[in-house]
Amino acid sequence: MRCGEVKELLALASGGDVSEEEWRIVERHIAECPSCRRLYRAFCEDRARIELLRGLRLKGDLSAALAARRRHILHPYLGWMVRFAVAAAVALVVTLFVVKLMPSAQTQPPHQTPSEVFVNDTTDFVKKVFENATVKDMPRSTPKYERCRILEEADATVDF
Amino acid sequence: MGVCVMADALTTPEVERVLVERLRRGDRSAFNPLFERYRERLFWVAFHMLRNEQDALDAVQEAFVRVLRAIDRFDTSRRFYTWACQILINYCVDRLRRRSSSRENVSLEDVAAPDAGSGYDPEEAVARQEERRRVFDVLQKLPPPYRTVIILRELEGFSCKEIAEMTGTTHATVRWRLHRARTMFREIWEKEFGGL
Repeated sequence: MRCGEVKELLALASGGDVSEEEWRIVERHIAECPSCRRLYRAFCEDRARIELLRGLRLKGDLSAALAARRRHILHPYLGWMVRFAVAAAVALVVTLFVVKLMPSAQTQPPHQTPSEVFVNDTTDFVKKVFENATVKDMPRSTPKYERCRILEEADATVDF
Repeated sequence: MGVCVMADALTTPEVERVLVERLRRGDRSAFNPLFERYRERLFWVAFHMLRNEQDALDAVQEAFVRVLRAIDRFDTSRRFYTWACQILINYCVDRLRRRSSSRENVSLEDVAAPDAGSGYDPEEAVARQEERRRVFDVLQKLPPPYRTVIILRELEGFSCKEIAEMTGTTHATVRWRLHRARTMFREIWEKEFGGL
């Protein structure tokens, strides 16, 4: 057999990955051909070199890091759950903080119709005008036009 | 010691089968022995494939998560390690194809502990370390399909038939890739460090 044909088997033969028949062909050829014999030996040396990478040991910190991954394997969603819980807590704190900074939102009066606003404002105005008045100050019979003036003034302050 | 090794080799598949059965019944404590036994071997396979220790850690974690998820589909006539390694290789190949990692390649010395123990000649240890580094660097220059075959055959000791099953290819394809991989390794080695 020619070198070109055997060369295709040399790499496989160096690792014992050929059939018995193929091995006999290779064995016969390398016994006669020094160039193929050298190549076969080089392949065998390469395999010995690669085997140096067998049985490597991990550095201590990496070995510990690898062992620690067991928790993530048994509870693959644990990390996401923790992240979600932290995000929810932060959102809650921010919401509470914003609500506390806006007291006007808490003391907003209930919605009133314009007529209710008018009645309330007029009542407040009348109360304000007369709250410091004494019986002595107050005339027994208030003139009709004076009452109208008071009501008109109250009307002017109502903001529709 | 030889007897111990033999006993271990004889009992391991049986022990693994029992552990897998327990896992199927929901006993999570059965996972620990399997994890302890194979985590480092799987790490090295992933590291040789991905060349980054953090990517390799992620790969081992993901492989075990997938193992647990698919434990009901595991064929107990197969070795557990073969199956776990197949899942890991598929993950690594997929990751290399997507090139999703932005992490940098690291050297072997960053990850492997130096040789230790009595009876070691320091000079010899340094020479071995240097030779390992060279082999590692040359391996990284092989395209992923060839690198995969070399890792599984030379470092993990799987047969061509097993590799064909694991990689979803034919026996002939694995033989061809192995031949190409060894030839390419030889060519790169010769080019960089001389030889023959």
